[in-house]
Amino acid sequence: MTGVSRIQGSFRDPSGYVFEKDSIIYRQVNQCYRSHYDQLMQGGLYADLTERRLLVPHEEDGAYENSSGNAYKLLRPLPMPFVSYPYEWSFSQLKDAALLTLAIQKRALSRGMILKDASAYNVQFFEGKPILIDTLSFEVYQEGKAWIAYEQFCQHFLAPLLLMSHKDIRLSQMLRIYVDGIPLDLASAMVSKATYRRLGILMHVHLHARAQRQYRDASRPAGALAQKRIGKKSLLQIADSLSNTIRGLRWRHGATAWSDYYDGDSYQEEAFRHKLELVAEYLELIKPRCVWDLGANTGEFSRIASGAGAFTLSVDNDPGVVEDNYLKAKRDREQNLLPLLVDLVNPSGAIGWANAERQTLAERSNADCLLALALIHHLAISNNVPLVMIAEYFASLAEWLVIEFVPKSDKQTQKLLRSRRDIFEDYSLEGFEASFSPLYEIVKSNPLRHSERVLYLMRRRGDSNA
Amino acid sequence: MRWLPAVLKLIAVHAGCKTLFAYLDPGSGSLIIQLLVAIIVGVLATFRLWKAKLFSLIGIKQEADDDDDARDTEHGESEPV
Repeated sequence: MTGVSRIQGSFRDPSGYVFEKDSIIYRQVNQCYRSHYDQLMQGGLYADLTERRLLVPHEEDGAYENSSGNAYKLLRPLPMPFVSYPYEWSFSQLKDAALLTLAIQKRALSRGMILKDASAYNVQFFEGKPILIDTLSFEVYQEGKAWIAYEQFCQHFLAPLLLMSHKDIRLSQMLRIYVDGIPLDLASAMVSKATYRRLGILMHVHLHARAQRQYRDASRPAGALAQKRIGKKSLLQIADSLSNTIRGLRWRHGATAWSDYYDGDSYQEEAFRHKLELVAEYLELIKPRCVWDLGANTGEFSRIASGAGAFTLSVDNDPGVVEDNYLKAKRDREQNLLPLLVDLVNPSGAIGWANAERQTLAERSNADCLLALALIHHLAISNNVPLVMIAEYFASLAEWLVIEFVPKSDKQTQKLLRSRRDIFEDYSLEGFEASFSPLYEIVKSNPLRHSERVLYLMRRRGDSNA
Repeated sequence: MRWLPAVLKLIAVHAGCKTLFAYLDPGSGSLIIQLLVAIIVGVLATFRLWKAKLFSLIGIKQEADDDDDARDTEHGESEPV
């Protein structure tokens, strides 16, 4: 096959791999996985899981020729609108992904199969719910065999959820450092001794970490121990125990930095309503398929885009508002809105093997349009990013840009300048337009009523004639 | 937690053998702790079963257990919102 590009993160499992050809994602099933794939398809598990939207459905591509001769099947899975990573998920997103994995494990066991891996990267959010995307995650269950992926599950899901729940919500970002999940000894050492009183945490994290440490040394006689039998009933009970432990982990946040942003004198309700109208008007004009709302807060403006039918990423750097946004989307069963935790001044980088296993945020961009509302003063003043560099980054992400300029006279900007010297000479309406104009054509601009703010619709130069 | 090695040895003595294969390294410690967890959750499940039977026998009505399987399938509904 020509023009094939192997997905960089798909190399660990010899059962097959994922590649892209002509903008279509394929999954090759290798001959060595044949019996497991046949059991998945013919034993009823595939139908069971896909009917419940727990596993991504696929079509088999009959016209596949493979030069290496090791291919058994070629699958064309239902494409995901966006590939997100666990360190971009809120607490409840990671929790729901964990519970999905355990629900699948139980269904697999009931149909003579078992999950052979339990990576959080195998889960994506599709139509508002988590879904397993790795069709090759199953193997035929052998009576007496332990769950190979137990350690991986605890590291990818339980340890980060424990730290987020019992220590600090920001510790989800440790997943950016530890690509195969947070080491259990580290998680165990970081949480208080009070967690020993909870049986699930005691067994799956603390004792688990001790056992890992005890048998890490090859000279210990672990070989025979590690080959003992565990019955299917026990595996189901372990999955239940993990489910109950994870359900018992909660995170309740207090007021977020943005809780009162829409209230009070500084942000006039009339200006806000006017902005809602203008954003809707701009989006109606350009009809984007995919919108990224940067600095989305709880997603008020994201929902204008998703309500108009665009798949919308609703991005913020505050774990509290992303959690609220996700819970609202879940409660309202919103299908084309995906809240994500991303800090724009340090967006997700490329990590893993050869810095290519997990892509940067920009590499995953499929947006037609960005919303950057009430954002620029935070980037330019709180984080000292020059306006030109903001324009360059935005232009690298999407063709269209809806952006709000917040002048220095605005009370929100004044708050940011209150405790620091004003070193931002270029931060003015003229400076803003001068910085964005080389890269963007200004299609529309409207001052917001009862406000000194201005809303712009811009189009990247070079795309205008396309 | 000095008792842990002794408990793990005890588990080793009382269990049979089975060959394992997979592309992940499951980690010896993780496999061993699974045996311990299996015993604990098994004992607890048996205890709950007997408790339910006893209560039923003496006519005490217990609250119905949640249907774990149905709840797991509704993975998005685990938390009240």
